[in-house]
Amino acid sequence: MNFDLEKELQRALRREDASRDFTDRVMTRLAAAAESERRKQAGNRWWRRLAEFFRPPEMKWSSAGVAALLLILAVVGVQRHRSERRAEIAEGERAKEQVMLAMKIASAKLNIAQKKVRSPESGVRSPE
Amino acid sequence: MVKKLVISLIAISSAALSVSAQNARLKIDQLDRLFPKAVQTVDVSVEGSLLLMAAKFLKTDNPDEAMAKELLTNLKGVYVKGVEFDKEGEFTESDLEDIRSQLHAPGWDRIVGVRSKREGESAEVYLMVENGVISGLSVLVFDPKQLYVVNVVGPLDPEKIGQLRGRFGVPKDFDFDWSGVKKSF
Repeated sequence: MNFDLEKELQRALRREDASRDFTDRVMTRLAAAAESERRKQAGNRWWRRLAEFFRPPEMKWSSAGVAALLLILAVVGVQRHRSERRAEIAEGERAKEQVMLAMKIASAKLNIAQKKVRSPESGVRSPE
Repeated sequence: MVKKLVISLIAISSAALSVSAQNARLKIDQLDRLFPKAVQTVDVSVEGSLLLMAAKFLKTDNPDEAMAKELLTNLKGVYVKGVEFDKEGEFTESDLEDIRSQLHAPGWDRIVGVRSKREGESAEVYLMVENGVISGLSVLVFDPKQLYVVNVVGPLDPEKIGQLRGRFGVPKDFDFDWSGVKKSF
């Protein structure tokens, strides 16, 4: 058996050109590996993802603006509700005072009528 | 068929109730023309949702307000017009006739009519009673210098009116003959 070890080694280790898409495949795998590593570090916590979302400077300013607007709207809403409630209370108190006044006047006039009925000096007419 | 009949009966009853409430309501706004000449005026008109609101604000820990709250239950409206003048002759017989003609309409019964010729004072109390229930109460009191009309649109509970004794200036021996009127709501 003629076995030339050296020739076999040369043939096995001879240089071969890389395939055309070799670079692309390597870069894709590198990016996927990096993304996978990043995700592993970020974890599945939603708040971490949220923090990532607001990390850019422009997002920070936008979110501060939105928060301020919401706060203003909340304050305006509460103030409006209080104002409406105050108006409702004022109207209710006014109606109550009117009713009490009406009761007092009605009672006073009924009192007058009864006194006149009982007075011997008044000309009492019988009811119709 | 039965459902339609029940609905029709309810609609007719409601219409009848609202018509009776309207009849018990007097037209007294024309007395506003006397206001400019008056030294003291009273103008009260509380009805519907405003009456309910007033009842909500009446305190049960105040005896007068608690009594008023009880009376207000079921009432449709409370109306008062009053004028007081410095001198006599500021209102005429026609002003009184405007009111009296309404109280002489069918449905109203005068239960008290008192007149003092010497002082020119007069006090009249009218009730509108339907099916034994007081659906309206009116009081007309006047003398040469003042005129007051009180109109309460019910239903009114005569027992509760009696409980006014000792409240709102009503004497404890206050008594009108409410006979023939039963409590029924």
